[in-house]
Formats: sequence, structure tokens, C-alpha cells
Amino acid sequence: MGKKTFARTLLLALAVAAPVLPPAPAGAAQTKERARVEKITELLAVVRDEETLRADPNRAAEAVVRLGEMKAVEAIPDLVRLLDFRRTFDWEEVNAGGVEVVNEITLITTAKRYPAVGALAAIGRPAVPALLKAVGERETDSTAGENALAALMGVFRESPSKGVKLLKKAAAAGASPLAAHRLLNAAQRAENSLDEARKQ
Amino acid sequence: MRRSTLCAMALAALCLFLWPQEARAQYAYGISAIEYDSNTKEVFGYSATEVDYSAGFYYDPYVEGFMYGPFGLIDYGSSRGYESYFPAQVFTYTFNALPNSEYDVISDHYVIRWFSVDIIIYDDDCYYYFMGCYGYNWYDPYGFSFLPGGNFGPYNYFWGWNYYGYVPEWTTYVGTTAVGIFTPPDDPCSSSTADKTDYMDMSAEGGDFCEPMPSVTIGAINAVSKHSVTNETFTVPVEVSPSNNSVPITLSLRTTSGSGSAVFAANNSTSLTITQTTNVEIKGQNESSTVDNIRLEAKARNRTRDTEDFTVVLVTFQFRTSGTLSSDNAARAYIAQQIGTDSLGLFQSTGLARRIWRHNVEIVGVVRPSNYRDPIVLQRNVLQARRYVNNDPNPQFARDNFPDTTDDPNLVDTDPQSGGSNGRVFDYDAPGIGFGSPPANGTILRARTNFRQWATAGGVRVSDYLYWYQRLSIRQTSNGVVIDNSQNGDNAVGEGTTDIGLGTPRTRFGLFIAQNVPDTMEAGQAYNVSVTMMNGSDHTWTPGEYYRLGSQNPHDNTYWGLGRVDVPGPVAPGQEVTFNFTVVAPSSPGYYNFQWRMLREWVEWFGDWTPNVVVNVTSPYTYCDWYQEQSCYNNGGSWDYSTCTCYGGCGYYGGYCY
Repeated sequence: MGKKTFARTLLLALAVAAPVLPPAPAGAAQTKERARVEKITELLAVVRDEETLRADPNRAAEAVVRLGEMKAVEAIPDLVRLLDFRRTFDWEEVNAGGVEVVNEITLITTAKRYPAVGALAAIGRPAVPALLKAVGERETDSTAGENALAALMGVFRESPSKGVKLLKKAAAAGASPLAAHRLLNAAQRAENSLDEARKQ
Repeated sequence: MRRSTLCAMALAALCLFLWPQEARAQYAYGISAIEYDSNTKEVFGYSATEVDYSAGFYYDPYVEGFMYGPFGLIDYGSSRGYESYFPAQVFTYTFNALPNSEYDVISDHYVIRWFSVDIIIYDDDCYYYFMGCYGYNWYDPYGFSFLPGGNFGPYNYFWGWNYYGYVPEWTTYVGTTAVGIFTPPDDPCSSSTADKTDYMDMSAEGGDFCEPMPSVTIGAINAVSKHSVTNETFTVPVEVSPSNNSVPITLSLRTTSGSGSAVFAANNSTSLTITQTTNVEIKGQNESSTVDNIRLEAKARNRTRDTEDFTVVLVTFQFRTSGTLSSDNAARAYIAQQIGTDSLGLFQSTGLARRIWRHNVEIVGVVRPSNYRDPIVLQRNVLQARRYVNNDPNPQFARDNFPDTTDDPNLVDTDPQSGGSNGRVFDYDAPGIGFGSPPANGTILRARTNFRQWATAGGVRVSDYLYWYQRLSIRQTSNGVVIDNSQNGDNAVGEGTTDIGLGTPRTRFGLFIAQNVPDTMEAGQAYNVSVTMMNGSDHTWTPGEYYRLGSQNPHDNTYWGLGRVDVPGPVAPGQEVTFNFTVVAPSSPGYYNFQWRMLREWVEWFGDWTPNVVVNVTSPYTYCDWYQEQSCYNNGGSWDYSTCTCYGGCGYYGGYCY
């Protein structure tokens, strides 16, 4: 049997056998995915519960962080809604005999202070449209607006100039004059902070 | 029965029965046989021809025997027998036979007519030529060479003078026999199933002398730490099937390329034998020069069952407090955005984070091997943190041993290859202090903090500990918050540890790390305890200079049977030392303080007090006589376990009721 004939026969045999071959081992992956979905549902229930947010902010913060770690795209709308949800650490503010002491034993970044910022940055590119929308919809000076910008720049932390460029593009194609103005303003702020850091 | 005996090649023989065309019960027999001795690695060949009694009247047997090996002819020979009395036999032989090779014996069988009859000379000229006379010169009575038997043989030369000569004997080929064997592998049981079966088929007795080959599965090994640095071992599960396996499995560790080494913790060797599923502990000896260059291999009967390649990883640190963030630190831009600068050192931050005075530090983990690709996480905890307001020596804030919350993944760079790092990972921190709302002018806030940093790969610590500290003081003025430099040794950040007291830092300093002591003891009983301290001074502690751990609370007490414990050996600055010692609980029940502190005998006490442990010393448990106890209850008495005495009830005396 020639080489070509042999190869043709082999291919034909495979083609015939393929439909009856056992399916790819998807069982484990499906189980894992199901567990992931269940966990995300559970975490979303925590972050959607206003009572937990108010009475047990640390639990809510942990849930937010976990959603980010899991890169839960399904949670993006909830996380954007929680951009101004603030977390405090029990060691950071001390009242020492009437003196209010700020005690950052370690740096508390925006993402630590506002866990949704870190979570959205961790989710990465899939969160960008929602974050651009949030920047355009919120007052630039508001906490939520600033945090939307911080999360967006967190997504582009390794190449911040790309983040600035994206903001400018979004401003040019702004849904409304106000949104375009806010986006442009945010781009300017981000650019300034980069320049300031470079100058230091 | 010994395997060697079983595995010896028995005999594969083929007999060829050769007979004349007209059956008159005259037979010639041809035999080829071969035998392999697995002990001596010798192959014996045998070729033989014989004729029966009737044929023996007219014929002699003759044989040529050849032995062939994998590279061709090895040995040969020929032999003539005598009538039916002696067969023709050839023995062929070879030694050092190769395993898994074919050896053959081929035998050509002949009969030789040994008398002549009816010589008829057709050519008278042969007288003149003295040669070449020919005619029917021999007779084949049984037809070994003709059909049918009883005919004369073909022309043949007749040699002689005046017809006095001889007729040469005529050799007649009657057939060939052949037999071959495959020599077994050196260890037949280590071969493939097919080879083993073949071999067993050829053995004399066959049977199940080859136990089933076990299967071995070595678990994943992420990274192994250099043990002399971290004291860490890596535990890898090794699964053996079947569960009742008794075939020895040899685990070995070897370096496949470059440098680096690891040993088994159980025997400090590169070889370990197991038979059952077990967890194996591995210690890294020398760090790898390249990734995955150490191989853990499991072999049964010299046959590889499973392998796992891994890397011995070592991370060392660079502690950076000046200059700018490293250009290959992927978190650089984010950090700059947070604190408004990418410079290191003491700054008032201006970025997104709170605007307070901070020490910006970058911790660089230098990874070996430099081409390691998996994440290396630099972790940190806060050993001690104290905050003092004004000159009050009592800290307004004090907390020990808590994890540093470095849960902002944007602050770290765990990829040893990102940004062309070629084996560098990064952590960053900027601890700082400030005032919530401006206090009275002149208010001073002082921070003293000790940190401990280490690196992990796949959850395994792969670095020594890096200790670093921060001393920072700020003062409220009418112009805002400024750095307060009124105290020597203040506003510093660096490697090592610092005295966490309010005042000027002491130089001879012992930092408490951990202790292990039971909080309940039985009076008079001995207990093993341990206390770990770190040498935070710039001087090595040695037993010869009388550096010791001394009892405190009360000072110099001997409640625990001893008041001093020597350092077990030299302890360099920055090193931890664990004092393992045995205490004897006080003989009287009660609550006792267990607290210690470092001292240099006859010079000074120094450093941290260990956290006080109030130990509940209980009465020793007494084993009472069960019969006495039961008697006491049966007679309405009350039994005292501590003294084994019965009170009350019927007349008692020494616990017995009468």
C-alpha cells in the first residue's frame, strides 16, 4: 500500500470512527463550571443584600474581592453599582486620647479601600465598556466617578497611556455632550496624574 | 523454585523423521535442539543423525550442524556415525548470549553408503588414462536417494589401476532440521507483557513467577525549596497500584541538566524504596540552574513507571528605599498613580491614596533559576506595630503578628519574566501615618513597625525571611504636618528590626517571634516547650558570651525548674533561634506566669518580653483503688479522688468498709 493510499485509508477510518468515539472528557470541566456558577450566584447574593452591605461590610468586601478573583463577568453591573462601596480596616483609624490617628500600616490603595475597583480591574477588558459608561454617567469629582476611572486605569495598569487613549476615543464618540465632557475630563486627569508621577 | 531455574531455557527440539520411499522400516532420524542457560548466558546447540538397525546394514549417518546468532554464523561442525550403533552428533555452543536475541541451530542430515556393488566398466580406455572410468558404481537398497529403492546410484568416477581401485562413498542428503529460540531479557519480568508470555511459554514449568508490574503515579511538584535556607520540605503523594503490591519500587532523584539537587528527607539520599502508596518528602539541596532539571523517577524491576520533573527554587531579596521603582516592575504605573510618584523613600503622598507621610519601599525578589516562569508571591506580615502620641510611653495602638493585607493584586508583580525581568518579582509598600483631623499644634505621632517578608512558589516558602522596619514620626504645625526629627534614629526604614519602644532604639535587641507552651500543666510533671526569638541586634549571640533566655514575672524565678536557657549555638543578627527546653511544673497547684526575656549574663537584660502565659497547674491525677472506691459508694460514703480516701458512710477506715 502506497503512502498516500495508507494516509487516505487512515483518514477515512478516523472519519468513520469519529462519530462513535467517546465524547471529549467534558464531565470534569462541566462540574467545575457548575461549581463556579453556583459560587458566583452565592457571592452575588451577598453583594446584592443591602443589609449585609450595611451591617457586615467586611463580608461584602470579601465577596466583591472574590468575584474579581474569579473574573466573574456576570458580576460587572453589580460591581459598577458598588464602585463607591467603602471598606475600612480596624487598624487604620485610631482615636488616641482625642487625637485622630491615621494609621496605614500598609498602603491602602483605591482598590483596597473600594473593593469593587480592584475587582473590576481584576476582571480586566470585559469590564471596560461598563467602566467607560460609568465614567461618562457619573460626576468626575464624585467618588464613584473617580473610582470608575481608577478601575479603568487598573485594567490598563501596565500600559496606562492606552487607557488614556481609550478615554479620549470614547469622548469623541460620546453618547451625549455631557458624557463626552466627563470622559475627556477623566482622560485629562489620568494624563495629569501620569505626568505628575513622572515629574516626581 | 528459583526463578533462574524456571527461566532457564529448556529445550526446543524438532525431530525430522526421514524414511526411504519404499517403507521397509528402515529409517534415518534427524534432530536439532537448542538450550539456553539464563544463569551462565550460554547457548547449547545439538545436531544429530542416526539410522535404524536395518538401514545400518548399508548406511552410516552423517550430520553437519550450524549455530547462528543475531550477527550470523557462530559455530559449526560435522560428524559421522557408525551404522545404527553410533549416531552422528555435533555440539555447537556460544557464551555471553545477548538478551532478547534469536539463536538458531540448523542441521543438515545425510546418510553415507558404505559399500559398493556391481561395478560395470563401460570404457576400456580407462586403462590408458588411468582415471575417469565410470559406471553404475553403487547401490541404494532403501531408496534414500532414488525412487524407488533398490536402484543403483548414478555415475561416479572409478579410481584405480587395472580395475583394482575403490569406489568413493556416496553421501546422500536426506533433509534439514532447524530450531530457534529467543533469549529472554536479563530480567524476564521487566519486559513487556508479550515478551514475558513468550518466555513463560518456553520455560520448563511456566506459571506465575512474574508478579504483576505495579503502576506508580507521582503527584505534581510545583517547586521545591532549598532546605538549608527555609527548612521546608515538599510532600509529594506517590500512588502505587495494586494496593497489595510487594514489588520494590525505587524512587530516585537526579539532575537532568545543569546544576541543582534534591534528596529525600527520610534518608537524606537520592534513592528511596517503597512498595505502597505513600507521601514522600523532598528537600532541595542546591537551587536549580534551569527550570525542571530535577527528575523524580519511580522504577520497578529497573523499568520506569512514572517521572516528575521539578525545580529547586531559591529567592533572595533586595530591599530598595531610594531611587525609583524598577522599570521591569509591572505595578510601577499603578503605584505612581496611587501615591503620586514612582520614587522611593520618605514622601508625603499626592496620588489617589490618602495624603500622608510614607516610606515608599520596593522589595525585589531575585529568583533562581532565572528562567523560572510560575508565579512567585512575595508575602508579608506585620510582626509588631506600635503608635505613640506625644511622649506617652504607652502605645495608643499596639498589635502583633497579623497578616499584611496585600490583597490589591495591582501592587505586586508576581511574574518572574514580565517586562523582561528574567527572574525578578516585586512587592511594594508605603506604610504611613497622619492625623484624621488636625490636632493641636505640636502634637507628635510616632510609628514603630517590624515587618517580615518571604516568597512562596506554589504555596511553598522558597526564601529566607527578610525583616524590615520602619520608624516614622510626624508633628502637627501651623503649616501642616511635618516630619519630626527630634529623636535620634527616627524616620528610618531599612532591613532588620527595630526596637518598638518610644525612645531612641536600643542596639541590643531581641525580638519575640513565637512560643509553644501548654496553658494547663499537671503539678510536678515535665513538659517540652519552645520559645523563638530573633536577634535584632548587630551582634552575634553566642553561648560563650553567655547570651541566654532568662525567666521573668517574677524576675529570675525558678518556678519551672530552671531560670536560664543558653542559646543553642551562634545566632547571627537577623536570625531566628528556637529555644527548646523542658520545664517541670511547680509541685503546688495554682496559676503561674510563664514569661521570658533575653539577657547577656552579668551585663544586661534586653529585647522583648515573651507574651505572658498564665499556666493553670493542676493537682496530679491519682489512680485510686477501684475496689475501695466502689466499696465506699456501696456503703454510702463520699470518695475523694485527690487523696483516694472515703469519707462518711458506714464505718470507714483507710477507705475500707467493714
